[in-house]
Amino acid sequence: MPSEQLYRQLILDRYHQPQYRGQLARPDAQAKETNALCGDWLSMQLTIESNVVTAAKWTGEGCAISLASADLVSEHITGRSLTEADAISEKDVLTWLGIEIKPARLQCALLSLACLRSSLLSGQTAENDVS
Amino acid sequence: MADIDSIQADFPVLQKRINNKRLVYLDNAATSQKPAQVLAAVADYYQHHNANIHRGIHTLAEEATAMYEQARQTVRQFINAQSAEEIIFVRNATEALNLLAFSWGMANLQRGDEIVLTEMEHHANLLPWQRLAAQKQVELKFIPVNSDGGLELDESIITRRTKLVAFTHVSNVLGSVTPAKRLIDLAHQAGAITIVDAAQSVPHMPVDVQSLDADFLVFSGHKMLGPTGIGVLYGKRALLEEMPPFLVGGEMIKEVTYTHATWHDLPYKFEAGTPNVAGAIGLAAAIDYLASIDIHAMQKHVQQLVGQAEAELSAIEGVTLYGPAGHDRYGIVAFNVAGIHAHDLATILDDEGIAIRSGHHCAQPLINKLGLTAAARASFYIYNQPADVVALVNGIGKAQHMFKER
Repeated sequence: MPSEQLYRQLILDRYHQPQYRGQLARPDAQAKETNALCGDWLSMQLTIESNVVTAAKWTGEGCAISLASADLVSEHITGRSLTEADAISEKDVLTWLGIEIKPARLQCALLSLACLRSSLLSGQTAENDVS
Repeated sequence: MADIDSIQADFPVLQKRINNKRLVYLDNAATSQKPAQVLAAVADYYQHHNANIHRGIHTLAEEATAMYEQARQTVRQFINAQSAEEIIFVRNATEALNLLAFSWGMANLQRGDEIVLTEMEHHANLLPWQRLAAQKQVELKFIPVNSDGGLELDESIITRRTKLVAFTHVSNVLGSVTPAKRLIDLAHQAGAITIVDAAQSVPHMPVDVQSLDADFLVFSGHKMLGPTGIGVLYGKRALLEEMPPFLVGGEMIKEVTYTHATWHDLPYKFEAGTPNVAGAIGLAAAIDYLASIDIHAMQKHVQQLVGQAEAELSAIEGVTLYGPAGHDRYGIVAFNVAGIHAHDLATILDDEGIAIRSGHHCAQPLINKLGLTAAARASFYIYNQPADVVALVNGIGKAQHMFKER
């Protein structure tokens, strides 16, 4: 895939003007993940009410692919039940990005998913702690 | 003598087209390409001489052994070691450094001792010492690097407790050269021994272990036109003789019983198992190839390319260069383009057939110290041409256009 297609407008828009970048005041779940290959990092925060993700925000440093991916994942999980959020797959994330990713850049595209999964796990742990 | 301006023909891979573009290979600090002469030497060994060495009585074994030991002589001469017994073949610089940490470090360091490194070490010359420091409760100290990529050397960092000073000769991120001779002299005055990580210097400059008075010096073959999987540990004979073996097993023994073994002499004590015979022969061919080129012409050629890259990149708005200015940069130009992550830049350049490196370059503490998470790195070698710099500049322009906010 030529880079003009890889860096299609959606990816660049999300990179330049992310809609979900920021911090939640009182997150119910959060986690940070780093890309061991390059040192980039992503942190994700979720608000969970009645088993539904009602808000998601992210912060981090990374390439256009990884940050656009974080923004798209945040958008797609907002309003979803925890069961639905748990079921989000690599294929889903790649579909939302809408681009063909070479193996060398797959970790960039999927750092957001790793971060989401860790966040959801941290939420479970927090619930258990309360009970 | 080979003409520096027409040696591209010796490198078959440079004929390859990437995304229908001419390959512009600017990732030489990661690994260099190989000339046909090296490929032929490796093929010739496997086609005509392949056998296990040192043990066989038959003709092929004798031929293979002679070629392997001739390769050791070639390396000895290349770095001007006193004797071939001081040349240990290993996989790469990383393995040599791990060997030293395990063998020299475990035997010679005690709680309270100090190891002095620099802040610009490759992970290969940091992690073995980190692990050893934890095991032996030894303190690691770092000579600071300044914003120009030079060392801020306060001589008092080396004390009587310093047992080892281990440092890179040329930074793999910034291309800056360290004052090797001065560091070695300071270490010796304090009674410490020295390790020079010459992985990035040996491909670019004459390195003489005797005039440096280095105790140990390590490098990889693959960054200097040789095959992967072969590297060199040089050590002064007296030090190597005192050291216990790293790996034990075949080839490295004198006598073995069910309960006991005695070690072979140097260099075999450190070469357990069947070594990379073809790799050593390929490395010797690479050294012969480099010897056929006037080293000063080669240095001038690479320095001119680096100077051209420095001038043309710094003229681009939004490009920040890291490291030393001018001719202190050995083959490497590290930079970032504002608003474009190094990975994205590398992907877009790949579309143009241009290979650069992006990320932390296995020197994450240094990259973080520079206030970065990633940088782009263009690194040059003998077969690069001014047109390669022009391609890089044009590629950066394309990336900037693509990433322009609309």
